[in-house]
Amino acid sequence: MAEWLHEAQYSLVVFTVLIQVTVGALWVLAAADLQLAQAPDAVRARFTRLGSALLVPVAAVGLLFSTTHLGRPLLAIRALRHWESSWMSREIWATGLFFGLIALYTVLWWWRPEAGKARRSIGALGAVVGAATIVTQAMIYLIPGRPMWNHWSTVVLFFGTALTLGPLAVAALHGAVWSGLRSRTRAGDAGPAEAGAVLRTSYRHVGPALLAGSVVYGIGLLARLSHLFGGAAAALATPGAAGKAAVGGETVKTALLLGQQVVAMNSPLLWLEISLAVGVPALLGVALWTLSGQGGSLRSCGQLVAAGLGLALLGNLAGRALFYLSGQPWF
Amino acid sequence: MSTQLGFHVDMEKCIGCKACEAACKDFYRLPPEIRWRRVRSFEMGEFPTALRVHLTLACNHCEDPACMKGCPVEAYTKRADGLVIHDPAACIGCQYCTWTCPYGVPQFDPEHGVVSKCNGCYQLVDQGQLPRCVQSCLTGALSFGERAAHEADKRQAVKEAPGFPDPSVTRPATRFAWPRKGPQPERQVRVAPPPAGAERAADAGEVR
Repeated sequence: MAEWLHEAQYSLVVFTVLIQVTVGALWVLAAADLQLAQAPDAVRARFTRLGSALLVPVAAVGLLFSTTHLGRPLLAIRALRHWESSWMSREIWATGLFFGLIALYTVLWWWRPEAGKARRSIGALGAVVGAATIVTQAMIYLIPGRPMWNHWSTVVLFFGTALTLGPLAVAALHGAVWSGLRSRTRAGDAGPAEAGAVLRTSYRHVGPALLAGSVVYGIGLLARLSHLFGGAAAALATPGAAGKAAVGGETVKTALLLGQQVVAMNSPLLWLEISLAVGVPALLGVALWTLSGQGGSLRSCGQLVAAGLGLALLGNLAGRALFYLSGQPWF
Repeated sequence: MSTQLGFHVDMEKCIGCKACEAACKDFYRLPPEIRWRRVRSFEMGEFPTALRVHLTLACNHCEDPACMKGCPVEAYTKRADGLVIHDPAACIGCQYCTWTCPYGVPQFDPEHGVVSKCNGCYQLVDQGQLPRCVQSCLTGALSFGERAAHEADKRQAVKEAPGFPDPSVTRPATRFAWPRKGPQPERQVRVAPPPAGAERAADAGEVR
């Protein structure tokens, strides 16, 4: 098991997924914050502020895991050196900047709530830097040395994770907060009713976002599978490619055949990815849109979102593990 | 013309004995799982003319090394003679070079937490000696020297070899002579016709 986890690069699986969750969550929060500037609402502001509490802890756990990948983690800071040509250096710069911005954004929400303009600017900047962070993360894998990863679908998949898990994480936190608020209030208190109305609106917005995110992830996954399976079929039709004796550019087909074989050997991970990383957010998106629009129970919606987050996170972790497993040394 | 040292592999002469691998491991006292030079054996051609061939490879000391470009800590340098050197003291063990190199040259050593790779025995080369693997080759299949000299003097010196990843990506300095029987390379790389007796002289050892 330990060897399998090492091969699946578990530390990078957790790191990339959690940073992408944080980026997606910031997109939702920064967008809500900008809307608040147009139409101030104390209850919505409170929900948005509570949502910001998840940013730093989730990203911090991700960063912690990233260092466990290193042979000499205490020297990790050296990785900032080669930004001129190394996408890994650029990723560390971008991630560090993103972490600084979300920390500042959270501090402004909790300790300087009156500095709305500054906070919204930091949030918007963080959202852009977050997107750049995902691009740098993906660029690391667009390398001819690993043809299984060297495809545009890598970028799409990484954005798909952010677009599905980010809104889901914020919605789950809001649902949990509302549930806690409701259980602590006395009869006649208007607070939970107002909060419920805001939460219902939030779920109504999250529904289509989840649906769009799962479409993006689905497109990325379909393209990646077609890249691997198409390459594998081409390898079998090329003399020497399946026996590792192809020549020049044809050797890429050998690598893709190996990648496809790894995916086939680990098919349970692929099914988990399809059903949980794509299927669950898509179904949840439709359910939230329908339930919140038809006045369905907020408690049921909250339970669905919490369960959906757990399942979608599991699907993303499985998919990312499969991504790393398929990028085996091939020569 | 710029200097670029590199290996030449004559697949016709290689018998897959792995003396080069063993000499390298012994000289550098490498851990069991680390092989800076590796001999790969596979089939090429088709029945009834299929051949078993051997391909011995270490670092290709590429002109455009992907390991050096991708390394976030600048642990790689390319010397004036073209050799690509890795400094384990600078390495943080991120293993990115093990992904970026298309030829699987850098290898991670979990015991020391760093990557290592063939440095072309630069300390021997600086003393006018050949790399250990070349010294140990029983059949003269492996030689080392100026890439341009290989291209000029050897029986055949092509960039591509069966199973060898696409050389257009990083422009490796290694050149190959394919087995005389079986499929032949599509493109020949030769900067000048071989002068009489040049191949014999080149095969005898150093061609610099």
